[in-house]
Amino acid sequence: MNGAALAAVTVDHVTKVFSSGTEALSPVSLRVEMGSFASLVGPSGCGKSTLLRMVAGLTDPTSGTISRSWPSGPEGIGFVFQDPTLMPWATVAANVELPLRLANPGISTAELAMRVTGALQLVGLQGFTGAFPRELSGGMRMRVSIARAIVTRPRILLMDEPFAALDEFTRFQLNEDLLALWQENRWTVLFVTHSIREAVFLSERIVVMSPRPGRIVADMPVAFTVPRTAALRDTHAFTDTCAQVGAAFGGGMAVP
Amino acid sequence: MSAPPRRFVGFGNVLLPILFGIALLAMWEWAVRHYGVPEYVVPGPVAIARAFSRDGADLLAGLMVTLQVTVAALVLAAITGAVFAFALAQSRLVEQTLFPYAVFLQVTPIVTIAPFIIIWVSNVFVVLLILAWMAAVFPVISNTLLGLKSADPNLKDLFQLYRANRWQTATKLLLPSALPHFLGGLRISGGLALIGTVVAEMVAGTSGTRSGLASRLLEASYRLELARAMACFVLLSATGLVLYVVLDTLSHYLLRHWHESARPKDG
Repeated sequence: MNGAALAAVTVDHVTKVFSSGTEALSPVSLRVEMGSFASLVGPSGCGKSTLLRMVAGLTDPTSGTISRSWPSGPEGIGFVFQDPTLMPWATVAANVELPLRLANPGISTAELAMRVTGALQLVGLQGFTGAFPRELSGGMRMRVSIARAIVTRPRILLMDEPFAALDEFTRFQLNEDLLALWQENRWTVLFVTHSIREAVFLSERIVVMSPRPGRIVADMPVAFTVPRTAALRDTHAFTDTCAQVGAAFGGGMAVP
Repeated sequence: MSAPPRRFVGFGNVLLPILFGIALLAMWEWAVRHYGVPEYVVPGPVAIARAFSRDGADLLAGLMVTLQVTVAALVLAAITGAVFAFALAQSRLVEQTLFPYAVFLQVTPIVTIAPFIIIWVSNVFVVLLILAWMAAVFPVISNTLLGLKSADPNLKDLFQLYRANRWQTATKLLLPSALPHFLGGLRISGGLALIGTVVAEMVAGTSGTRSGLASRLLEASYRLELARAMACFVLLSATGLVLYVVLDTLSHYLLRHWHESARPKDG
């Protein structure tokens, strides 16, 4: 790949063994370039979520190192969980402003309001600031969750199967919106999914992982031109690429 | 705001039990008259109503004393229970060390402690308060502790990710997570505080103008004024019911925006 691009995150020979003794990851090395959209795909339990949590600093690797291109601090990372993970007792605005408040308790109300409005506008939820999560649909809750992740303008956006629990229609819509946002803003995104189609549609690069203990069995660029649109899903090239990724899955299974 | 909890409104929920109650009272009155049961053995509803109208002011004064103790004990239980639960939640070690003592409070029949408290404390109000508090505090402790521990692990990760300090995690995550459980505990404690007060009054044997409703009930029964005793009993039951409705409404109000327990039925 392009060696000149700056790395946002470098994962170097990282392993993870849980306290139960389960080996989740055998040595994994991965370089995520700034401004790139990379997907980690693999079967359930292959350690892709564990890898993401280690990049976020929520879990420490058992061995190996993870280096990040930004000084350590709470605002470097945006994390989107599989569930929206909103505080049910707080309004949309209070949920979205949480990272800013935690990082900077003295932040002004005007600044908060501006940043929250901006983030909600990006995900298409302006006008919902006073709503409670209960009043929103599953797709809207996930949009709030994404707004909360980007409100700090993080250096990297980590997404852990964010759309897995949504119906297909909502999922496609959110895929398209996320793609449009990324094409416009060029965030660095590391996206975990077990959907090959979703990964191919969104990513510039797909990293395929083997079943536990997880390791990288394929690392392939996705060559579709930007901007992509929803019509991409209907092309032969798209289906072919999905088949290639699927084959990498199969190869990974065959090798012991 | 959607006003009183819908659960208490409607033909099925209100009218049916009331009609049943009236039928029951009518049968009671009829039986008492038909078999000529004297009032000092079983007073009928009419006799009880007469006792109300004769001693109403006196009984209400007693009720106020009982209510004061009950409410004070409940408030004290809410505060100390929540603080204690919060302390227990700080570390597994603290919980292991102290929780058995909370259980001790719960399993000890308060009647057996009453004589000691009566000897050690001279102020009767304080004696009643201590005993009622002992009866009421455990559900708050155990429920709040459960709530503090059941905060969404993903939200905990989120707070960790943004380097929330202990204070931020406590006030913005743990306390709101525990609120529904705390309120559930409080509803149970409301009834227990009243029971504790009643038992304490009966054991402590207060008398005179400052005596509570339970002491007056006991006194009346010693004098075979069963209609008056029954009137006390009815007032105490009603108090328990009102206490429950107040706490239930409070819980519903505080959780109305977000908790499943307060979800509107038509929503």
